[in-house]
Amino acid sequence: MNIRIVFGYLLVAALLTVGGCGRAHRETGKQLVVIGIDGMDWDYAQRMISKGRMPALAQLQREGTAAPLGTSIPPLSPIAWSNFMTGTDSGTHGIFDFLHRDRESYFPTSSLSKSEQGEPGPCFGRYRLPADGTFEMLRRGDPFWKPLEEDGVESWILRMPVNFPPSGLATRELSGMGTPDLTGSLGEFSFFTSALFYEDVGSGGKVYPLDLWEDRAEGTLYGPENIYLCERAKAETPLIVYFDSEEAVAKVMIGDTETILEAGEWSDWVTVTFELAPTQSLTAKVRLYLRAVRPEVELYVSPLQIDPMAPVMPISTPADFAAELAKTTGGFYTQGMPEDTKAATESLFSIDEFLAQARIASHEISAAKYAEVVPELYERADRMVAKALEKLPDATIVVMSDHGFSSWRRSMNLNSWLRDEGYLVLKDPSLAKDPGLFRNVDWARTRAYGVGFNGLYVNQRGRESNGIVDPVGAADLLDEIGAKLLETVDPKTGAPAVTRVYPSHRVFSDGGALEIGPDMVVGYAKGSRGSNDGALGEIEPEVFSDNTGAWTADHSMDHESVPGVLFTNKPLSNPAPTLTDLAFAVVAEFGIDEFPVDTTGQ
Amino acid sequence: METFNALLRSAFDALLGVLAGLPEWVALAVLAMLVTLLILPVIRWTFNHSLAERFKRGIYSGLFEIRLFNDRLGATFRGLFDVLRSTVAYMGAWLLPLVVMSIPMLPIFAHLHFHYGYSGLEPGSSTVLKAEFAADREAAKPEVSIVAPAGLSVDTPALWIPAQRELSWRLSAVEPGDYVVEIEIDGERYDKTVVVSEGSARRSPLRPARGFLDQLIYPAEPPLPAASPLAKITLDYPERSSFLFVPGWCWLLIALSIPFFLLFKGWFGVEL
Repeated sequence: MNIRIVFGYLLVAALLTVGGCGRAHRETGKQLVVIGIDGMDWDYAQRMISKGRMPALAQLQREGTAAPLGTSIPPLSPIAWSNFMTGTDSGTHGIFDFLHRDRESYFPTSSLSKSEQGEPGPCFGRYRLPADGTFEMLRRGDPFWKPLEEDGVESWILRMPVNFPPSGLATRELSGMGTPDLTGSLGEFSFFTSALFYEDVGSGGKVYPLDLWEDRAEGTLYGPENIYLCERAKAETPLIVYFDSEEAVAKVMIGDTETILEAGEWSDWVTVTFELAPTQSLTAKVRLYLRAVRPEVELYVSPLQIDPMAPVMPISTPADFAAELAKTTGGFYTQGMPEDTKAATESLFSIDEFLAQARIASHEISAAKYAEVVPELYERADRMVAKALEKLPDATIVVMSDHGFSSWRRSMNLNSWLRDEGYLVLKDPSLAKDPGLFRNVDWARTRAYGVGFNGLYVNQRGRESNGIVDPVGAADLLDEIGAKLLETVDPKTGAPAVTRVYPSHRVFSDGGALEIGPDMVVGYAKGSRGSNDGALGEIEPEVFSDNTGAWTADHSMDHESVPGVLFTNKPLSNPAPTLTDLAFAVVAEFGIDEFPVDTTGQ
Repeated sequence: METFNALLRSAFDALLGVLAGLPEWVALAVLAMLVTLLILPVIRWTFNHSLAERFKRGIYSGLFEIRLFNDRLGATFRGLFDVLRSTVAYMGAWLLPLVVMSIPMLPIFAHLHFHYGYSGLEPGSSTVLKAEFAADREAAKPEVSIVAPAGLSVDTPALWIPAQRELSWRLSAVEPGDYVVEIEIDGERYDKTVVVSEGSARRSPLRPARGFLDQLIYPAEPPLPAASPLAKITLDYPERSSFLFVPGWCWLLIALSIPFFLLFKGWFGVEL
């Protein structure tokens, strides 16, 4: 065992294990552990250290090295982690945002991975032979564990974001953020209610009705599309909630699986089986939360997790590694980001309920009050570091984060701003409610538009399907828009709304991926961010708005305002002021002096 | 039946207690040998060897006819028919031994299934305990209480489902051990065994009523008292893997029996 890379998401500790391997590895006499903590903020960590609440990081700061770590442009997790693992930037690895745009339809598309279905076979009655499906990771470039493995250095990569499907290049891998649920989405919960009238949620899940009978409520739990059926339909299984007439207790039956819960209680992992066709079925793992029995029955079913014991999509290297982990730990969320923020932002969870779910997702349940939630998360990360220091006293321990965090108080809808400045033109400006997804945009008169949290695109002729801007004049247009953005002031705060703009051809390497991403990245001022609706192509009446949602902190801002952290217990042989430099610094610890071949970090 | 099951439970507990320290396949190999030694005398006395020999000769003669006259279509078909007829007849000769063998084998396999067919509850895991009433029970919720020993915890109040005449609780395993949960219904107490362990042990997923068939299929625990209003008490133990609806341990036992059968058949004068 020479190198183990352990990642967490939102300070969720991953499991550090030791095991055998099938490849030929050399004995380097050196161990290196990278503990990646998504979103650990340099300033906040310093405050916690000065209060004596992070003794392990304080020890690293005292005896090793500690510094802010330069993050990606923009500072979003998929980009930052891709920078780290490939040692390059977006111009080479091709991840510019959570969302990219389809040049034909202008619709936002996932930047992380895509699935493709082949041609289905012929029908036999109701059923057909299913098509082959594939998942493709859209990140380009080689991760740093490739040269390590090629050099005979064993590597374990756990919960690494933007590594789904797993690269297959490490000795052991478990995919992290970007791993979908069983339906292929990034996490769609199901919420069941017996209420006669209810409102569905906007995104992140769906509300389903329960038919109420004397002692039970009946509904249907839906799964992914049933690929064995000739007619398009989702796989489904009956869901029945039997409830007691006196006590606030109920038995939830999903298929043949029974779970008894009191109101306000979470279940352990429950196996759900969807029958697809005779002899063919699909299993998923879910957690149930019985929110209430009276006056209405309310049941939350978590997104359908890929069953690690029988994964239907590739989530680990080797394929049975996920099962090995599940046998050891008793089950875990396989979905990339298990904390169900959507259920909270859609008000189906109270803050307490969300925190309970988030703690279940990270295998640690406590009862911290709100003011203590973040400090407790930092303390938990510190305990993880302390454990690594204790278990591996001779190893090089690297603690890093992809970016920092900041309060998010004000939102700016970039598309609304472009409309007000005359760069984006609406078909019908009188519409009271914009339909979103650019459906009200007049592309024949629009010169620029925004997709994703920070991306600004020129509607360029010959590139976009309805492009009108001559490529020759695109750079001037970008300069003009950039200058105006930097002059824009938030009318409520009186402060600049944007503190930095990044023309792509100037800030990113030309590694063959520039054509995928935006022409300019917008660096919002610290404390503000692009609006959620604007990211999906909705043009709201107002450019600026208060952030009144439950998601009250963020990081998709000016990249210099939210640096990550880098702590080591001993100096690295190569300095690593930024994420891209850190990839090279890691491989250099094992004597590899060239990675990547054309790096912007070196 | 109750006494018979009690005797078999004691016998299997004693035998499997001796084998408990061995790897499971070794224990099953010992059991396969014992089962083989039990069935070979049955075959010896119930299998009609001379009749079987005649049918085997019919198969050989049919095959010989096909080989000799393979250029004559009529003879080839006649040979094929002889092979088929003799094969069916040969299999028919096994019917009586199989029926006689099934009499001792059914209770033996039933008992073994409750030792090898279920996984144990592990500390920290939970399961559902259900007490199901007879169909003529009124729909009102009965007066009920439950007492669990220290190694178990009852996590929920009793849930009454009138349409199914069913009381249920969520039960969690705290520490390894063999336990008895006491359910008191309308002043009467009913016990249910609960085993928390990973290794081989007698696990009873269902305590049956006093019917013959129920006791035959679920012999791992004494039946409920005759005057009980309950039809059964169940506890969900995770089932172990199976293939083609046959438990995995059963396939292994059958496979391990074959070499013992071939080894010992000469001693008992059994010819296939």
